[in-house]
Amino acid sequence: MNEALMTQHVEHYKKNILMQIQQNTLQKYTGIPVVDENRLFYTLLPLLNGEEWNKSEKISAIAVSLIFTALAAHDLVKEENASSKAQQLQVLAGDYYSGRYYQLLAKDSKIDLIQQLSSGVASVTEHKSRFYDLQEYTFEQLIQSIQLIESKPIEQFLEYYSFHEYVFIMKEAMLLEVLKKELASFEKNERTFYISKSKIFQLNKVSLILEIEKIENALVRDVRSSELLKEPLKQAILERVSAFSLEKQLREG
Amino acid sequence: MDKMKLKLLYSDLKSDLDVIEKELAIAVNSSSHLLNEASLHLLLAGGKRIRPVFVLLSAKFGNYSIESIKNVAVPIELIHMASLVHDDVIDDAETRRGRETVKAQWNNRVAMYTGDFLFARAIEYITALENTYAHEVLSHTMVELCIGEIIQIEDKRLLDQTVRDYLRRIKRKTAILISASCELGAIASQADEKTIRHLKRFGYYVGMSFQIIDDILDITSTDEQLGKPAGSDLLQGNITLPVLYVKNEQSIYPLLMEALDGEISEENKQKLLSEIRKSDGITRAKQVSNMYLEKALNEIKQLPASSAKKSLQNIALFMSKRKF
Repeated sequence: MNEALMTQHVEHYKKNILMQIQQNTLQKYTGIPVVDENRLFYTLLPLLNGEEWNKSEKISAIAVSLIFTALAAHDLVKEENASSKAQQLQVLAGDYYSGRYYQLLAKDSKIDLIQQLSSGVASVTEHKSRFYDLQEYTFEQLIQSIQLIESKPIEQFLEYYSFHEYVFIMKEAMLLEVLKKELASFEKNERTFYISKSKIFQLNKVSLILEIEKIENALVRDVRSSELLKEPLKQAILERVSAFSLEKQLREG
Repeated sequence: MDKMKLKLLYSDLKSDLDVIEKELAIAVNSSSHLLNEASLHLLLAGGKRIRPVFVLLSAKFGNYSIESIKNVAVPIELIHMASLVHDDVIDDAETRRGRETVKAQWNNRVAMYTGDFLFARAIEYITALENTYAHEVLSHTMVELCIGEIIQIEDKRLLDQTVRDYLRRIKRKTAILISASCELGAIASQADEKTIRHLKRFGYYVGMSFQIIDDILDITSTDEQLGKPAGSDLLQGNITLPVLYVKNEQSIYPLLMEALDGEISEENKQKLLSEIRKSDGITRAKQVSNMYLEKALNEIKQLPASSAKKSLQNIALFMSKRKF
Protein backbone atom coordinates (compact mmCIF):
# COMPACT_ATOMS: atom_id res chain seq x y z
CA MET A 1 0.00 0.00 0.00
CA ASN A 2 1.54 3.32 -1.02
CA GLU A 3 1.44 6.47 1.05
CA ALA A 4 -1.34 8.08 -0.96
CA LEU A 5 -3.57 5.07 -0.31
CA MET A 6 -2.71 5.13 3.39
CA THR A 7 -3.70 8.78 3.59
CA GLN A 8 -6.89 7.95 1.73
CA HIS A 9 -7.73 5.22 4.26
CA VAL A 10 -7.14 7.55 7.21
CA GLU A 11 -9.27 10.26 5.63
CA HIS A 12 -12.02 7.78 4.81
CA TYR A 13 -12.13 6.59 8.43
CA LYS A 14 -12.07 10.13 9.76
CA LYS A 15 -15.03 11.02 7.58
CA ASN A 16 -16.86 7.92 8.76
CA ILE A 17 -16.16 8.69 12.42
CA LEU A 18 -17.45 12.24 12.04
CA MET A 19 -20.55 10.94 10.27
CA GLN A 20 -21.34 8.64 13.21
CA ILE A 21 -21.49 11.58 15.61
CA GLN A 22 -22.93 14.28 13.40
CA GLN A 23 -25.26 16.37 15.60
CA ASN A 24 -26.19 19.86 14.48
CA THR A 25 -26.45 21.60 17.85
CA LEU A 26 -23.20 20.11 19.11
CA GLN A 27 -21.39 21.07 15.95
CA LYS A 28 -22.78 24.60 16.04
CA TYR A 29 -21.58 25.27 19.57
CA THR A 30 -18.62 22.98 20.12
CA GLY A 31 -17.20 22.76 16.60
CA ILE A 32 -16.03 19.71 14.72
CA PRO A 33 -15.25 16.85 17.10
CA VAL A 34 -11.60 16.09 17.76
CA VAL A 35 -10.39 13.16 15.66
CA ASP A 36 -6.62 12.97 15.91
CA GLU A 37 -5.37 11.78 12.50
CA ASN A 38 -2.08 10.58 13.91
CA ARG A 39 -3.86 8.43 16.50
CA LEU A 40 -6.15 7.15 13.79
CA PHE A 41 -3.12 6.25 11.66
CA TYR A 42 -1.75 4.09 14.49
CA THR A 43 -5.18 2.54 15.14
CA LEU A 44 -5.27 1.47 11.51
CA LEU A 45 -1.70 0.10 11.40
CA PRO A 46 -2.74 -3.48 10.49
CA LEU A 47 -5.03 -2.26 7.71
CA LEU A 48 -2.33 0.06 6.38
CA ASN A 49 0.09 -2.86 6.43
CA GLY A 50 -2.27 -4.86 4.21
CA GLU A 51 -3.72 -7.20 6.87
CA GLU A 52 -7.13 -8.75 6.30
CA TRP A 53 -9.67 -6.34 7.75
CA ASN A 54 -13.36 -7.24 7.84
CA LYS A 55 -16.52 -5.27 8.62
CA SER A 56 -16.31 -5.89 12.38
CA GLU A 57 -12.74 -4.65 12.50
CA LYS A 58 -13.81 -1.53 10.64
CA ILE A 59 -16.72 -0.89 13.03
CA SER A 60 -14.55 -1.55 16.08
CA ALA A 61 -11.81 0.80 14.83
CA ILE A 62 -14.41 3.54 14.45
CA ALA A 63 -15.79 2.79 17.93
CA VAL A 64 -12.31 3.01 19.48
CA SER A 65 -11.76 6.37 17.81
CA LEU A 66 -15.09 7.57 19.17
CA ILE A 67 -13.87 6.78 22.69
CA PHE A 68 -10.92 9.14 22.20
CA THR A 69 -13.18 11.77 20.66
CA ALA A 70 -15.47 11.53 23.69
CA LEU A 71 -12.60 11.80 26.15
CA ALA A 72 -11.10 14.71 24.20
CA ALA A 73 -14.43 16.55 24.37
CA HIS A 74 -14.42 16.27 28.17
CA ASP A 75 -10.81 17.44 28.34
CA LEU A 76 -12.04 20.69 26.82
CA VAL A 77 -14.38 21.38 29.75
CA LYS A 78 -12.84 24.14 31.84
CA GLU A 79 -11.86 23.34 35.41
CA GLU A 80 -13.86 26.30 36.71
CA ASN A 81 -16.84 28.15 35.31
CA ALA A 82 -18.16 26.00 32.52
CA SER A 83 -21.54 27.67 32.45
CA SER A 84 -21.46 29.05 28.90
CA LYS A 85 -23.69 27.31 26.39
CA ALA A 86 -20.65 26.04 24.47
CA GLN A 87 -19.16 24.53 27.63
CA GLN A 88 -22.45 22.97 28.70
CA LEU A 89 -22.70 21.33 25.32
CA GLN A 90 -19.07 20.23 25.55
CA VAL A 91 -20.09 18.11 28.54
CA LEU A 92 -22.93 16.56 26.57
CA ALA A 93 -20.81 16.12 23.45
CA GLY A 94 -18.49 13.77 25.34
CA ASP A 95 -21.41 11.78 26.73
CA TYR A 96 -23.06 11.62 23.32
CA TYR A 97 -19.94 10.39 21.51
CA SER A 98 -19.39 7.86 24.26
CA GLY A 99 -22.97 6.60 23.91
CA ARG A 100 -22.46 6.27 20.16
CA TYR A 101 -19.37 4.06 20.61
CA TYR A 102 -21.39 1.74 22.84
CA GLN A 103 -24.32 1.75 20.43
CA LEU A 104 -22.11 0.94 17.46
CA LEU A 105 -20.52 -2.07 19.15
CA ALA A 106 -23.84 -3.24 20.63
CA LYS A 107 -25.35 -3.33 17.15
CA ASP A 108 -22.40 -5.44 16.04
CA SER A 109 -22.93 -7.81 19.01
CA LYS A 110 -19.41 -7.18 20.27
CA ILE A 111 -20.29 -7.54 23.95
CA ASP A 112 -16.90 -8.95 24.95
CA LEU A 113 -15.11 -6.05 23.27
CA ILE A 114 -17.49 -3.59 24.96
CA GLN A 115 -16.53 -5.17 28.28
CA GLN A 116 -12.81 -4.76 27.59
CA LEU A 117 -13.07 -1.23 26.25
CA SER A 118 -15.27 0.02 29.08
CA SER A 119 -12.81 -1.41 31.57
CA GLY A 120 -10.10 0.39 29.61
CA VAL A 121 -11.99 3.69 29.70
CA ALA A 122 -12.42 3.36 33.48
CA SER A 123 -8.69 2.84 33.73
CA VAL A 124 -7.97 5.86 31.50
CA THR A 125 -10.08 8.10 33.76
CA GLU A 126 -8.29 6.72 36.83
CA HIS A 127 -4.93 7.61 35.34
CA LYS A 128 -6.12 11.03 34.18
CA SER A 129 -7.23 11.79 37.72
CA ARG A 130 -3.63 11.19 38.88
CA PHE A 131 -2.86 14.62 37.50
CA TYR A 132 -5.47 16.12 39.81
CA ASP A 133 -5.03 14.33 43.11
CA LEU A 134 -2.68 15.17 45.93
CA GLN A 135 -0.80 11.91 45.97
CA GLU A 136 2.86 11.89 44.95
CA TYR A 137 3.72 9.87 41.85
CA THR A 138 7.15 9.11 40.49
CA PHE A 139 8.36 10.29 37.09
CA GLU A 140 8.10 6.71 35.76
CA GLN A 141 4.58 6.23 37.13
CA LEU A 142 3.38 9.37 35.39
CA ILE A 143 5.02 8.37 32.09
CA GLN A 144 3.22 5.02 32.34
CA SER A 145 -0.04 6.84 33.06
CA ILE A 146 0.37 9.03 29.98
CA GLN A 147 1.05 6.02 27.82
CA LEU A 148 -2.02 4.26 29.13
CA ILE A 149 -4.22 7.33 28.67
CA GLU A 150 -3.02 7.82 25.11
CA SER A 151 -3.21 4.24 23.92
CA LYS A 152 -5.11 1.78 26.13
CA PRO A 153 -8.31 1.46 24.06
CA ILE A 154 -6.27 1.03 20.83
CA GLU A 155 -4.15 -1.62 22.54
CA GLN A 156 -7.32 -3.46 23.58
CA PHE A 157 -8.71 -3.25 20.06
CA LEU A 158 -5.50 -4.57 18.49
CA GLU A 159 -5.22 -7.37 21.06
CA TYR A 160 -8.89 -8.31 20.59
CA TYR A 161 -8.35 -8.88 16.87
CA SER A 162 -5.00 -10.62 17.49
CA PHE A 163 -2.87 -7.88 15.99
CA HIS A 164 -0.48 -8.24 18.94
CA GLU A 165 2.64 -7.41 16.93
CA TYR A 166 1.50 -3.86 16.31
CA VAL A 167 0.87 -2.97 19.94
CA PHE A 168 4.40 -2.01 20.95
CA ILE A 169 4.98 0.33 18.01
CA MET A 170 1.58 1.96 18.45
CA LYS A 171 2.08 2.52 22.21
CA GLU A 172 5.57 3.96 21.83
CA ALA A 173 4.54 6.19 18.94
CA MET A 174 1.52 7.57 20.82
CA LEU A 175 3.61 8.27 23.92
CA LEU A 176 6.39 9.86 21.90
CA GLU A 177 4.07 12.18 20.05
CA VAL A 178 2.25 13.43 23.11
CA LEU A 179 5.43 14.00 25.12
CA LYS A 180 6.99 15.99 22.30
CA LYS A 181 3.89 18.09 21.82
CA GLU A 182 3.54 18.68 25.54
CA LEU A 183 7.14 19.73 25.99
CA ALA A 184 7.06 22.04 22.98
CA SER A 185 3.84 23.70 24.18
CA PHE A 186 5.16 24.02 27.71
CA GLU A 187 8.29 25.74 26.44
CA LYS A 188 6.06 28.16 24.56
CA ASN A 189 4.12 28.85 27.77
CA GLU A 190 1.02 27.33 26.23
CA ARG A 191 -1.54 25.27 28.09
CA THR A 192 -0.46 21.65 28.44
CA PHE A 193 -2.45 18.76 29.73
CA TYR A 194 0.16 16.83 31.66
CA ILE A 195 3.25 18.97 32.31
CA SER A 196 1.35 21.95 33.73
CA LYS A 197 -0.28 19.60 36.21
CA SER A 198 2.88 17.89 37.31
CA LYS A 199 5.64 19.41 39.40
CA ILE A 200 7.80 16.37 38.81
CA PHE A 201 7.86 16.97 35.04
CA GLN A 202 8.49 20.66 35.48
CA LEU A 203 11.41 19.99 37.82
CA ASN A 204 12.86 17.22 35.65
CA LYS A 205 12.73 18.66 32.18
CA VAL A 206 16.12 17.20 31.30
CA SER A 207 14.90 13.73 32.27
CA LEU A 208 11.84 14.29 30.12
CA ILE A 209 13.98 15.21 27.10
CA LEU A 210 16.16 12.15 27.70
CA GLU A 211 13.06 9.98 27.99
CA ILE A 212 11.77 11.33 24.68
CA GLU A 213 15.09 10.60 23.00
CA LYS A 214 15.15 7.11 24.45
CA ILE A 215 11.63 6.32 23.19
CA GLU A 216 12.36 7.81 19.78
CA ASN A 217 15.58 5.85 19.33
CA ALA A 218 13.92 2.60 20.38
CA LEU A 219 10.94 3.22 18.11
CA VAL A 220 13.05 4.09 15.06
CA ARG A 221 15.22 1.02 15.66
CA ASP A 222 12.21 -1.27 16.02
CA VAL A 223 10.47 0.07 12.96
CA ARG A 224 13.60 -0.21 10.80
CA SER A 225 14.33 -3.77 11.91
CA SER A 226 10.70 -4.96 11.86
CA GLU A 227 10.00 -7.99 9.72
CA LEU A 228 6.27 -7.47 10.05
CA LEU A 229 5.97 -3.95 8.68
CA LYS A 230 6.07 -3.48 4.94
CA GLU A 231 8.45 -0.90 3.53
CA PRO A 232 5.89 1.83 2.67
CA LEU A 233 4.40 1.65 6.17
CA LYS A 234 7.86 1.78 7.74
CA GLN A 235 8.58 4.92 5.75
CA ALA A 236 5.24 6.45 6.72
CA ILE A 237 5.90 5.83 10.43
CA LEU A 238 9.46 7.16 10.26
CA GLU A 239 8.26 10.27 8.45
CA ARG A 240 5.68 10.86 11.14
CA VAL A 241 8.28 10.45 13.86
CA SER A 242 10.64 12.94 12.19
CA ALA A 243 7.77 15.35 11.45
CA PHE A 244 7.29 15.58 15.20
CA SER A 245 10.99 16.14 15.80
CA LEU A 246 11.47 17.62 19.24
CA GLU A 247 14.29 19.86 18.09
CA LYS A 248 12.16 21.20 15.26
CA GLN A 249 9.21 21.82 17.56
CA LEU A 250 11.33 23.58 20.16
CA ARG A 251 13.04 25.63 17.45
CA GLU A 252 9.67 26.67 16.05
CA GLY A 253 8.69 27.73 19.53
CA MET B 1 -39.72 12.97 48.17
CA ASP B 2 -40.47 11.30 51.47
CA LYS B 3 -37.85 8.58 51.26
CA MET B 4 -39.13 6.77 54.35
CA LYS B 5 -42.62 6.33 52.93
CA LEU B 6 -41.24 5.23 49.60
CA LYS B 7 -38.94 2.70 51.24
CA LEU B 8 -41.93 1.21 53.07
CA LEU B 9 -43.53 0.59 49.70
CA TYR B 10 -40.72 -1.67 48.63
CA SER B 11 -39.80 -3.13 51.99
CA ASP B 12 -40.18 -6.62 50.45
CA LEU B 13 -37.08 -5.85 48.43
CA LYS B 14 -34.99 -4.73 51.37
CA SER B 15 -32.50 -7.59 51.36
CA ASP B 16 -32.07 -7.38 47.58
CA LEU B 17 -31.62 -3.62 47.73
CA ASP B 18 -28.93 -4.16 50.35
CA VAL B 19 -27.17 -6.40 47.83
CA ILE B 20 -27.45 -3.64 45.21
CA GLU B 21 -26.08 -1.06 47.66
CA LYS B 22 -23.08 -3.27 48.43
CA GLU B 23 -22.52 -3.93 44.74
CA LEU B 24 -22.66 -0.22 44.00
CA ALA B 25 -19.88 0.33 46.52
CA ILE B 26 -17.81 -2.41 44.85
CA ALA B 27 -18.54 -1.07 41.37
CA VAL B 28 -17.31 2.44 42.17
CA ASN B 29 -14.20 1.20 43.92
CA SER B 30 -11.25 2.68 42.12
CA SER B 31 -7.47 2.47 42.17
CA SER B 32 -7.56 6.26 42.06
CA HIS B 33 -7.83 7.80 45.49
CA LEU B 34 -9.52 10.86 44.03
CA LEU B 35 -12.16 8.98 42.03
CA ASN B 36 -12.80 6.74 45.01
CA GLU B 37 -13.46 9.72 47.20
CA ALA B 38 -15.67 11.46 44.64
CA SER B 39 -17.68 8.31 43.92
CA LEU B 40 -18.16 7.51 47.59
CA HIS B 41 -19.25 11.10 48.11
CA LEU B 42 -22.01 10.41 45.60
CA LEU B 43 -22.96 7.05 47.06
CA LEU B 44 -23.22 8.46 50.55
CA ALA B 45 -25.50 11.21 49.30
CA GLY B 46 -27.97 8.37 48.92
CA GLY B 47 -30.89 8.76 46.62
CA LYS B 48 -34.20 7.07 46.15
CA ARG B 49 -32.70 4.16 44.19
CA ILE B 50 -36.00 4.14 42.37
CA ARG B 51 -34.51 2.92 39.09
CA PRO B 52 -32.99 -0.23 40.62
CA VAL B 53 -36.35 -0.82 42.32
CA PHE B 54 -38.06 -0.74 38.93
CA VAL B 55 -35.45 -3.17 37.57
CA LEU B 56 -35.99 -5.61 40.44
CA LEU B 57 -39.77 -5.44 40.42
CA SER B 58 -39.93 -5.87 36.64
CA ALA B 59 -37.62 -8.86 36.90
CA LYS B 60 -40.13 -10.50 39.24
CA PHE B 61 -42.30 -11.15 36.17
CA GLY B 62 -39.71 -13.61 34.86
CA ASN B 63 -37.14 -15.95 36.42
CA TYR B 64 -35.97 -13.75 39.25
CA SER B 65 -32.48 -14.16 40.64
CA ILE B 66 -30.78 -11.29 42.45
CA GLU B 67 -27.38 -12.65 41.39
CA SER B 68 -28.15 -12.04 37.73
CA ILE B 69 -30.52 -9.10 38.03
CA LYS B 70 -28.00 -7.03 39.97
CA ASN B 71 -26.05 -6.87 36.70
CA VAL B 72 -28.80 -4.62 35.39
CA ALA B 73 -29.88 -2.77 38.54
CA VAL B 74 -26.37 -1.60 39.46
CA PRO B 75 -25.43 -0.17 36.04
CA ILE B 76 -28.78 1.59 35.71
CA GLU B 77 -28.15 3.41 38.99
CA LEU B 78 -24.54 4.14 37.99
CA ILE B 79 -25.74 5.72 34.75
CA HIS B 80 -28.20 7.84 36.70
CA MET B 81 -25.44 8.90 39.14
CA ALA B 82 -23.00 9.69 36.31
CA SER B 83 -25.51 11.85 34.50
CA LEU B 84 -26.23 13.78 37.71
CA VAL B 85 -22.51 14.52 38.19
CA HIS B 86 -22.28 15.86 34.66
CA ASP B 87 -25.59 17.74 35.04
CA ASP B 88 -24.13 19.56 38.03
CA VAL B 89 -21.31 20.83 35.81
CA ILE B 90 -23.84 21.95 33.21
CA ASP B 91 -26.04 23.65 35.81
CA ASP B 92 -23.06 25.02 37.77
CA ALA B 93 -24.78 23.52 40.83
CA GLU B 94 -23.13 23.89 44.22
CA THR B 95 -25.42 21.51 46.11
CA ARG B 96 -27.52 18.44 45.43
CA ARG B 97 -29.64 16.64 48.00
CA GLY B 98 -28.32 19.12 50.52
CA ARG B 99 -24.69 18.11 49.92
CA GLU B 100 -21.89 19.74 48.01
CA THR B 101 -21.65 18.54 44.42
CA VAL B 102 -18.50 16.88 43.09
CA LYS B 103 -17.76 19.90 40.93
CA ALA B 104 -18.11 22.20 43.94
CA GLN B 105 -15.96 20.07 46.23
CA TRP B 106 -13.23 19.47 43.62
CA ASN B 107 -13.66 21.05 40.17
CA ASN B 108 -15.43 20.54 36.83
CA ARG B 109 -12.68 18.36 35.41
CA VAL B 110 -12.78 15.98 38.37
CA ALA B 111 -16.56 15.85 37.97
CA MET B 112 -16.11 14.98 34.29
CA TYR B 113 -13.71 12.15 35.12
CA THR B 114 -15.96 10.88 37.91
CA GLY B 115 -18.93 10.78 35.55
CA ASP B 116 -16.88 9.13 32.80
CA PHE B 117 -15.59 6.58 35.29
CA LEU B 118 -19.13 5.74 36.46
CA PHE B 119 -20.45 5.47 32.88
CA ALA B 120 -17.57 3.16 32.00
CA ARG B 121 -18.11 1.01 35.08
CA ALA B 122 -21.84 0.81 34.29
CA ILE B 123 -21.20 -0.47 30.78
CA GLU B 124 -18.53 -2.86 32.00
CA TYR B 125 -20.92 -4.18 34.63
CA ILE B 126 -23.85 -4.80 32.30
CA THR B 127 -21.73 -6.80 29.87
CA ALA B 128 -22.31 -9.69 32.26
CA LEU B 129 -25.65 -9.80 30.46
CA GLU B 130 -24.93 -11.50 27.15
CA ASN B 131 -27.98 -10.30 25.33
CA THR B 132 -27.32 -8.08 22.33
CA TYR B 133 -30.82 -6.62 22.36
CA ALA B 134 -30.42 -5.50 25.99
CA HIS B 135 -27.25 -3.63 25.02
CA GLU B 136 -29.01 -2.04 22.09
CA VAL B 137 -31.74 -0.85 24.46
CA LEU B 138 -29.28 0.58 26.98
CA SER B 139 -26.96 2.23 24.44
CA HIS B 140 -29.96 3.75 22.67
CA THR B 141 -31.18 5.02 26.04
CA MET B 142 -27.82 6.64 26.81
CA VAL B 143 -27.74 8.39 23.44
CA GLU B 144 -31.34 9.57 23.80
CA LEU B 145 -30.63 10.87 27.32
CA CYS B 146 -27.90 13.08 25.83
CA ILE B 147 -30.11 14.27 23.02
CA GLY B 148 -32.79 15.15 25.59
CA GLU B 149 -30.27 17.25 27.50
CA ILE B 150 -28.99 18.88 24.33
CA ILE B 151 -32.55 19.87 23.42
CA GLN B 152 -33.08 21.17 26.95
CA ILE B 153 -30.10 23.50 26.52
CA GLU B 154 -31.34 24.56 23.09
CA ASP B 155 -34.80 25.29 24.49
CA LYS B 156 -33.49 27.21 27.51
CA ARG B 157 -35.01 30.67 27.95
CA LEU B 158 -37.12 30.03 24.88
CA LEU B 159 -40.69 31.04 25.63
CA ASP B 160 -41.83 30.22 22.14
CA GLN B 161 -42.14 26.48 22.73
CA THR B 162 -45.12 24.17 22.84
CA VAL B 163 -46.35 21.59 25.31
CA ARG B 164 -45.34 18.97 22.76
CA ASP B 165 -41.76 20.30 22.79
CA TYR B 166 -41.75 19.98 26.56
CA LEU B 167 -43.16 16.44 26.52
CA ARG B 168 -40.66 15.29 23.89
CA ARG B 169 -37.87 16.73 25.98
CA ILE B 170 -38.85 15.05 29.26
CA LYS B 171 -39.41 11.78 27.45
CA ARG B 172 -35.72 11.72 26.59
CA LYS B 173 -34.49 13.40 29.72
CA THR B 174 -36.29 11.20 32.27
CA ALA B 175 -38.90 8.77 31.01
CA ILE B 176 -36.62 6.77 28.75
CA LEU B 177 -34.27 5.68 31.57
CA ILE B 178 -37.16 4.55 33.79
CA SER B 179 -38.68 2.78 30.81
CA ALA B 180 -35.33 1.08 30.11
CA SER B 181 -35.05 0.09 33.80
CA CYS B 182 -38.35 -1.79 33.55
CA GLU B 183 -37.65 -3.23 30.12
CA LEU B 184 -34.13 -4.42 30.97
CA GLY B 185 -35.27 -5.93 34.26
CA ALA B 186 -37.86 -7.94 32.38
CA ILE B 187 -35.44 -8.89 29.58
CA ALA B 188 -32.79 -10.02 32.05
CA SER B 189 -35.24 -12.32 33.81
CA GLN B 190 -36.48 -13.66 30.49
CA ALA B 191 -40.03 -12.52 30.90
CA ASP B 192 -42.27 -13.06 27.88
CA GLU B 193 -42.40 -10.44 25.14
CA LYS B 194 -45.86 -9.16 25.96
CA THR B 195 -44.89 -8.60 29.59
CA ILE B 196 -41.69 -6.84 28.52
CA ARG B 197 -43.74 -4.52 26.30
CA HIS B 198 -46.19 -3.64 29.08
CA LEU B 199 -43.40 -2.97 31.56
CA LYS B 200 -41.49 -0.83 29.09
CA ARG B 201 -44.59 1.31 28.48
CA PHE B 202 -45.38 1.40 32.19
CA GLY B 203 -41.89 2.79 32.88
CA TYR B 204 -42.27 5.38 30.16
CA TYR B 205 -45.62 6.65 31.48
CA VAL B 206 -44.45 6.66 35.10
CA GLY B 207 -41.34 8.56 34.03
CA MET B 208 -43.42 11.20 32.28
CA SER B 209 -45.74 11.59 35.26
CA PHE B 210 -42.77 11.67 37.66
CA GLN B 211 -40.92 14.41 35.73
CA ILE B 212 -44.01 16.61 35.50
CA ILE B 213 -44.46 16.31 39.28
CA ASP B 214 -40.77 17.11 39.73
CA ASP B 215 -41.22 20.25 37.66
CA ILE B 216 -44.28 21.24 39.67
CA LEU B 217 -42.41 20.69 42.94
CA ASP B 218 -39.57 22.95 41.76
CA ILE B 219 -42.12 25.73 42.02
CA THR B 220 -44.32 24.66 44.92
CA SER B 221 -41.77 23.24 47.42
CA THR B 222 -39.53 25.01 49.88
CA ASP B 223 -35.73 25.16 49.64
CA GLU B 224 -35.45 22.72 52.55
CA GLN B 225 -37.78 20.18 50.98
CA LEU B 226 -35.91 20.30 47.68
CA GLY B 227 -32.38 20.38 49.11
CA LYS B 228 -31.72 23.25 46.65
CA PRO B 229 -33.30 26.69 46.12
CA ALA B 230 -36.94 26.55 44.98
CA GLY B 231 -37.39 27.73 41.39
CA SER B 232 -33.85 26.62 40.45
CA ASP B 233 -35.00 25.11 37.16
CA LEU B 234 -36.82 28.25 36.21
CA LEU B 235 -33.83 30.43 37.06
CA GLN B 236 -31.68 28.10 34.94
CA GLY B 237 -34.01 29.01 32.08
CA ASN B 238 -35.83 25.69 31.90
CA ILE B 239 -39.42 26.31 30.86
CA THR B 240 -41.47 23.58 32.46
CA LEU B 241 -45.10 22.56 32.00
CA PRO B 242 -46.73 24.67 34.76
CA VAL B 243 -44.87 27.72 33.46
CA LEU B 244 -45.72 26.98 29.83
CA TYR B 245 -49.42 27.05 30.65
CA VAL B 246 -49.34 30.49 32.27
CA LYS B 247 -46.35 32.20 30.66
CA ASN B 248 -48.48 34.85 28.96
CA GLU B 249 -50.52 35.91 32.00
CA GLN B 250 -50.18 39.60 32.84
CA SER B 251 -49.00 39.05 36.39
CA ILE B 252 -46.41 36.49 35.29
CA TYR B 253 -44.95 37.50 31.92
CA PRO B 254 -42.82 40.51 33.01
CA LEU B 255 -41.38 38.66 36.01
CA LEU B 256 -40.74 35.61 33.87
CA MET B 257 -38.80 37.72 31.38
CA GLU B 258 -36.70 39.10 34.22
CA ALA B 259 -36.00 35.58 35.45
CA LEU B 260 -35.08 34.33 31.98
CA ASP B 261 -32.78 37.33 31.47
CA GLY B 262 -31.06 36.29 34.69
CA GLU B 263 -31.68 39.64 36.27
CA ILE B 264 -34.42 38.90 38.77
CA SER B 265 -34.13 40.04 42.38
CA GLU B 266 -34.84 37.62 45.24
CA GLU B 267 -38.03 39.53 46.02
CA ASN B 268 -39.30 39.30 42.46
CA LYS B 269 -38.30 35.66 42.26
CA GLN B 270 -40.50 34.91 45.27
CA LYS B 271 -43.28 36.98 43.70
CA LEU B 272 -42.98 35.05 40.44
CA LEU B 273 -43.12 31.70 42.24
CA SER B 274 -46.10 32.86 44.22
CA GLU B 275 -47.95 34.01 41.07
CA ILE B 276 -47.33 30.69 39.35
CA ARG B 277 -48.49 28.83 42.47
CA LYS B 278 -51.71 30.83 42.47
CA SER B 279 -52.34 30.31 38.76
CA ASP B 280 -54.03 27.29 37.21
CA GLY B 281 -50.70 26.21 35.66
CA ILE B 282 -50.06 23.87 38.57
CA THR B 283 -53.52 22.26 38.35
CA ARG B 284 -53.28 21.81 34.59
CA ALA B 285 -49.80 20.30 34.83
CA LYS B 286 -51.09 17.93 37.54
CA GLN B 287 -53.87 16.85 35.22
CA VAL B 288 -51.34 15.91 32.56
CA SER B 289 -49.28 14.05 35.14
CA ASN B 290 -52.42 12.18 36.22
CA MET B 291 -53.19 11.27 32.64
CA TYR B 292 -49.76 9.60 32.35
CA LEU B 293 -50.28 7.94 35.71
CA GLU B 294 -53.57 6.45 34.46
CA LYS B 295 -51.83 5.15 31.36
CA ALA B 296 -49.12 3.59 33.52
CA LEU B 297 -51.68 1.88 35.72
CA ASN B 298 -53.50 0.59 32.65
CA GLU B 299 -50.33 -1.08 31.42
CA ILE B 300 -49.82 -2.75 34.78
CA LYS B 301 -53.40 -3.97 34.82
CA GLN B 302 -52.58 -6.22 31.86
CA LEU B 303 -50.03 -8.16 33.92
CA PRO B 304 -50.79 -11.22 36.06
CA ALA B 305 -51.59 -10.59 39.74
CA SER B 306 -48.56 -10.68 42.01
CA SER B 307 -46.99 -8.75 44.84
CA ALA B 308 -44.60 -7.13 42.33
CA LYS B 309 -47.59 -5.87 40.38
CA LYS B 310 -49.08 -4.37 43.53
CA SER B 311 -45.74 -2.74 44.43
CA LEU B 312 -45.38 -1.19 40.99
CA GLN B 313 -48.91 0.20 41.24
CA ASN B 314 -48.25 1.65 44.68
CA ILE B 315 -44.92 3.18 43.72
CA ALA B 316 -46.43 4.75 40.61
CA LEU B 317 -49.24 6.20 42.70
CA PHE B 318 -46.85 7.45 45.35
CA MET B 319 -44.45 9.06 42.88
CA SER B 320 -47.22 10.86 41.12
CA LYS B 321 -48.94 12.06 44.26
CA ARG B 322 -45.90 13.01 46.29
CA LYS B 323 -45.74 16.40 47.95
CA PHE B 324 -41.96 16.79 47.82
